[in-house]
Amino acid sequence: MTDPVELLALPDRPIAPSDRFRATLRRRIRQEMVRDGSTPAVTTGQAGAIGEMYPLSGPQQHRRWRPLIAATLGALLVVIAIGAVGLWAAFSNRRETPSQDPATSNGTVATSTPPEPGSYDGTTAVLPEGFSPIDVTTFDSGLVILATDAPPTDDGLPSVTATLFIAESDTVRPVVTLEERPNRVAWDGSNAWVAHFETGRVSKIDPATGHVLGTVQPELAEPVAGDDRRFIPNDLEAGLGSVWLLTARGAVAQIDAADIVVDRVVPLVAPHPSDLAIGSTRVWVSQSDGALVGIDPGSGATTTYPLSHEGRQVVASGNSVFVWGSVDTTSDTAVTIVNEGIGPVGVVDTGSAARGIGTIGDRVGVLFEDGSFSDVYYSGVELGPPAATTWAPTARTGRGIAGALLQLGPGGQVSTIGLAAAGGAQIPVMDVTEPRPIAERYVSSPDWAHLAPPPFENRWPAASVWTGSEVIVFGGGPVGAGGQAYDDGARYDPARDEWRVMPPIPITVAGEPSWVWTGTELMVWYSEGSAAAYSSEADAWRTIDDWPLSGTFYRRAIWTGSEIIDVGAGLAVEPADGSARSIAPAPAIPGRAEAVWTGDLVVLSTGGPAYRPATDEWIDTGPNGLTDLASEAAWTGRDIIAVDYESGVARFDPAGERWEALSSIPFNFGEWLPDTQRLGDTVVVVSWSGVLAYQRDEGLWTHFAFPTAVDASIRLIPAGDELYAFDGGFHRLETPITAAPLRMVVRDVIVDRPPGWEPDGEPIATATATTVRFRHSNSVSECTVTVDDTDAWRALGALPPGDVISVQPVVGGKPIVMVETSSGSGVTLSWAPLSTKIAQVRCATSQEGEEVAAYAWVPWQ
Amino acid sequence: MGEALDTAAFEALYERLLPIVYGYLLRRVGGNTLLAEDLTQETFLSAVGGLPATVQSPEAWMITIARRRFVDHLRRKGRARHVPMVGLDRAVPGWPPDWTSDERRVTLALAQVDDAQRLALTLHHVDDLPVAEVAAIIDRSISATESLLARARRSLRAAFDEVADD
Repeated sequence: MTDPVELLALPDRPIAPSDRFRATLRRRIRQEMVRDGSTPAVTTGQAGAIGEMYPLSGPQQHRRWRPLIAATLGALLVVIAIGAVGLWAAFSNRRETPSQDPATSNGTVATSTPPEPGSYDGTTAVLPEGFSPIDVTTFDSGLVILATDAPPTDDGLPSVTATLFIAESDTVRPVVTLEERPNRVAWDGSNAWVAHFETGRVSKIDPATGHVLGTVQPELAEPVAGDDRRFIPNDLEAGLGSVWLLTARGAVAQIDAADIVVDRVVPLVAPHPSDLAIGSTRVWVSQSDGALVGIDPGSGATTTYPLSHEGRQVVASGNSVFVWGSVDTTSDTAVTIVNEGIGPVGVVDTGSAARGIGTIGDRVGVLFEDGSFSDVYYSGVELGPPAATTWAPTARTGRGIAGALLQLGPGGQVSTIGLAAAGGAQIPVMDVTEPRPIAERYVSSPDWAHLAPPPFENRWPAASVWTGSEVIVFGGGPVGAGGQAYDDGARYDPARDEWRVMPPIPITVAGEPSWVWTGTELMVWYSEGSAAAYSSEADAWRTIDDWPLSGTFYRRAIWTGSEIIDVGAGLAVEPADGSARSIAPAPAIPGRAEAVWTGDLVVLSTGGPAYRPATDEWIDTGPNGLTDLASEAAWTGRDIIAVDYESGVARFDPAGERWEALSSIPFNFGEWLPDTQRLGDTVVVVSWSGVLAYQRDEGLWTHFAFPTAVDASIRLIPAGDELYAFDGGFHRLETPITAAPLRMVVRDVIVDRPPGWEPDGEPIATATATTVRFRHSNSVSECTVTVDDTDAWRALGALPPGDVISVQPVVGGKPIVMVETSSGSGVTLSWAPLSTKIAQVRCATSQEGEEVAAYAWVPWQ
Repeated sequence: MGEALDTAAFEALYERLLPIVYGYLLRRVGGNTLLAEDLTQETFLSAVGGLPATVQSPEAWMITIARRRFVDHLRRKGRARHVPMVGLDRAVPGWPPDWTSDERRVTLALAQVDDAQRLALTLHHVDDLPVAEVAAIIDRSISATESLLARARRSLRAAFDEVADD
């Protein structure tokens, strides 16, 4: 039988790419050589076509795209597809000289058969002849457009004059013509606001009469040059009770929309501010130096989140904020998704063909080079049908890349959905008039106290214990890579908020460490032969020679209260002198099992054998369904909760001495070693998805806020009923983790099947594949769950009041529907096959006549 | 670094190395021609002006760059690892006509294991890098890398069994 691992060793063979690609790349190389100056100019032929198929790398590609908004001079008609409005706004903070005709750039912003000038049909506004748009925003019944009919300026600045248009009913009507180089427009719900590039002034405009109701001129706290304190507008938005003017000169002005006065100027760091968005609780500013700044509208206080990429554009939707920008210095881009209550929750790769992020209705998506627009959504935090509720596949082809890309195959069938890179297929045009329901998960935003930072760099995995009065953090190694293990440590005194450096450990530090806390000493050993014990009382190490145990990456040794038992080594060790005795021979122990002490048994996180010291015997606790790789477990005081890094969960009941598998963590879970700790009756888990709490009585997982971006290096340190966290900094949880109930958008949405949407290929569904779940709040009185199975809606079951249904469209990259209820005696699982395409939950609420509905999209693969 | 190649020399190299680089990448991206073209383009463009005329083995030079582009690609995806990655870059396989059934199957199977596993498998079993070097590239400890490789091999075998030989 062929072993595929051996096949991997087959040598690489040359493969000729297509002639089209060969020719195109040759042209690109010639262009680059000319640009690079490494060679004299070479005739490039049809250079213009190259960038369309193969995006330019580096900053120049953005320059190519930037002219999209203003590049309409000379065009007789300007057609604005409403679907591009949000993107239009997002792109509009550009000032480059126009150089590209939008009519040829893509199908998103132009149509081939434009309607009459001055007309508006609810989806398309046509400006009067000769006008080109500068900025645009939306209001309830139409568009607010800032446009100019002036020729382009030689200096690249906005035109001196611009006209404000309102697109409403069936017409586009001019409101007023303004001077001072107007370049940004906003809508506060009743009136339009226009910012002026030349002076930094902001005017409030009556949309009916065109009267200027007032003007305000914010000033920088410090002059930039000479006495120049002007706000050169980069963005203007209205929301949260104010009008907000952003300048890259390093400030945001908060303007009182009623009194037309500057309430406050929030300083930022020039020249990094790039874009501004209004969130549900804060105003958000992206920064080109890789940061996102949140501004509290009440106090002006700022919160800064570091990003792993440039922050070039930011948009907000619901309680999520999406920041887009380049990754490092490459042509690739990414979106960081920030939950306003939690902080950054994930990063989505959007590839090298993405050209910006924007909103369409309540959708957030990325616009690609070919003009396609793909929703960005994050299945671990928010979700909804990731694509249109009405489908209109077009013949557009191109290189739709990344984002949450819904792709129709050549036959019109749904071939792919998700976040990945691809292209060359048809992209559906989304009907933006349909609302998108959003199901929110349980979240909590507890307060954290930021304590004195440790006197050393971040490290992982460090020995970390609570002594009863202090926290000790010792050892570990560099985060994220191999390297020499650290031989230092420190202890934290919470009464004084101070760290004290420990004396040097007296043994050689190398390899994998093991450690236990005996109640008086931190025992640490690396290799057989010697161990060291640190007395917190004496603040001193002692050395134990002839130590019989070796360190292990996975925790095998526990402290029973009287001795150390290492189930891997099969020894019980006296910590005073290292003397050891053999314990009963162990059955086969999974290589990566971690040991947990219940007070009676040494239980393994992988299930199976457990050791009882009192009788020196092994018992069988049964399987727990977790992978034998990288599982973690915590003793809660009455049972053990174990997780693995594929989101599996299991519970060990000490009374029955058996494991049971629980439903998996309803948040997508990254592939790394989880850290699991007890906090009172709650189990806290660190994962790629963030920090999660499992309230075992409710069977409820809550995603809760952590002070910094979550990564693998976080160590949680339980201290009685308190929880400390070490991530390079040091924090203490100050308030309980309180789960906010799930809220579904109360909106009845009819989801139409896309035309021609039929399965293609064999279904991959099995009862063991991953799931879609629905969860609703207790305010819902009754729910039914149905799935669109092939051609008919099929009921999976009725849910009694108070049930919990969780929603998760795709887990681990594999789509399937699972309906889970948690009523009464336990959890009931219902599975739907992969031929299912849409799952629906409809629930009556306590409000008479009101119904909530949520949908999960289940892709065909 | 010596002087860069001139246009004619680079173009001659281009003609010779394009199939090698493209073949190297196509196999590693599951036969996805679009992605392979993207990475091939990135490879050559990053070599423009940077390939010394005196380099001993332009092929090895280019393959090194191609490997970096591939690793960067998976790393970028890795940052979004908890986001469903449903097969877009497994789509549209473009098989060379002379590939054997086993070559097609293992390439498809490799594309179906997750990104971290795929990267580890590729670097260790295809590119024949030692585990320590793989660990350094993927920023994991050696033990974690070995663990990852063990799981990756298991995933590959499972995927291989499921891949239809068509």
